[in-house]
Amino acid sequence: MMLTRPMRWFGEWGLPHLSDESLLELHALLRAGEHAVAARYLKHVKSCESCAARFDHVREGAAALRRDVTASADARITPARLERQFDVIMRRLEGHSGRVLPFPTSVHRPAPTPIMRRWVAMAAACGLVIGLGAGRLIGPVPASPANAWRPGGPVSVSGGAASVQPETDEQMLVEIDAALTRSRTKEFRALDELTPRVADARARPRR
Amino acid sequence: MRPPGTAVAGAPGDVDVAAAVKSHLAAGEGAAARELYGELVRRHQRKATRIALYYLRESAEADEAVQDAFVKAYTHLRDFEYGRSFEVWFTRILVNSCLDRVKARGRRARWMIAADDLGDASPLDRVAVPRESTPEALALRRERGERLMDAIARLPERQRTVVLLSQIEGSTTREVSEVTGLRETTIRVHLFRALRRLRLLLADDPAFGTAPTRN
Repeated sequence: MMLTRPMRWFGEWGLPHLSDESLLELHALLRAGEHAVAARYLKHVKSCESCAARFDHVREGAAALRRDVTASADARITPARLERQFDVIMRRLEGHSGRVLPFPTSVHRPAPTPIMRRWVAMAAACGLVIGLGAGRLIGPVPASPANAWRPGGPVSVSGGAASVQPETDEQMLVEIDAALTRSRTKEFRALDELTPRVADARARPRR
Repeated sequence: MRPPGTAVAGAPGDVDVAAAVKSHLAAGEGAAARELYGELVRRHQRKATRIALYYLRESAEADEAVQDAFVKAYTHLRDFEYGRSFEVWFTRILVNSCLDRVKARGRRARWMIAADDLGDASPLDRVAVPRESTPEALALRRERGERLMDAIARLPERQRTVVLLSQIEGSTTREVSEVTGLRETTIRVHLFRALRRLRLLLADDPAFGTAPTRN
């Protein structure tokens, strides 16, 4: 196993010391359980009092910092919060059947014969043609209060903004991103760059 | 009742519990499977929430990511191989779930007005730690932790994952390799780059002392 790059040194020629960066790397390697890789650094640290003292300092500082980070996260994770989260997870699991389905090996259904498939396709095509024809004959139906019945209970008439479906929004944004990164639309990117973004406009200080 | 995020001493290992959940599921015993799986959830819930908070920084979204990850792990438990670490397998699901949310958030920020602009943090943040009862020293330490997390959040995606898992949560390079799918040497490169970048980012921060000179 090799280090990604040689150790960095400072100090007099013949009496070198590990740089701060190398000591940090040594600490990071030991933390990640890479004792074999760290051995090269450790060899020097064990024989150099100055580097050993500096390494202790790095180790203590890093441990304190790690404690600070985990403490700041743990302070936000209260037992009540974990309990609530646990309940939600269990409720969501109850919604699943949770049955592990084996890979189908024995049950085999023969595919319908080509003749049958052809008849089904023809019937579907006829239905479509009849439907289109009938639709043209009848023409557009004017909207009237009598026809305004919709399933799913009463509809709000407050005239406010339509409720936004987050999944639909997400899907839309993914599609926009994908469309912009596609090579076919790269001509539009210059145009996109010229268009102001909502977030940028909001970030700009108001007069 | 035992507090969440803890394990009973002498209790069967994660892998054995996961295997038992799988066999219950295969037998169609959903209730028993869920009860056992609840044990796994309790063991890993606190650490999972901490990891989600590192990535997402926002309590409500972190909670959702953790819930999604546990539900996803349960529904895909058939893919879990006996003999591998459940924690590593689950962390992979969790990290992917968090990264998906980070990406989605980036898209929303690009194309929509962020709800955060209203300037109101999650209600959970406000009730988590009452400020008036927090000692000053604890507050300062928390701030230092927050500053470091801010700097980590500015790292590129892979460097961030490597630092969080190996340096903060104490995973070995091999475990990080399993979680990320990267080679161990690549992880080492990301780790060293991340450390260098963090030192630069925090060099002028008074909470972290003066910039180092011995390079």
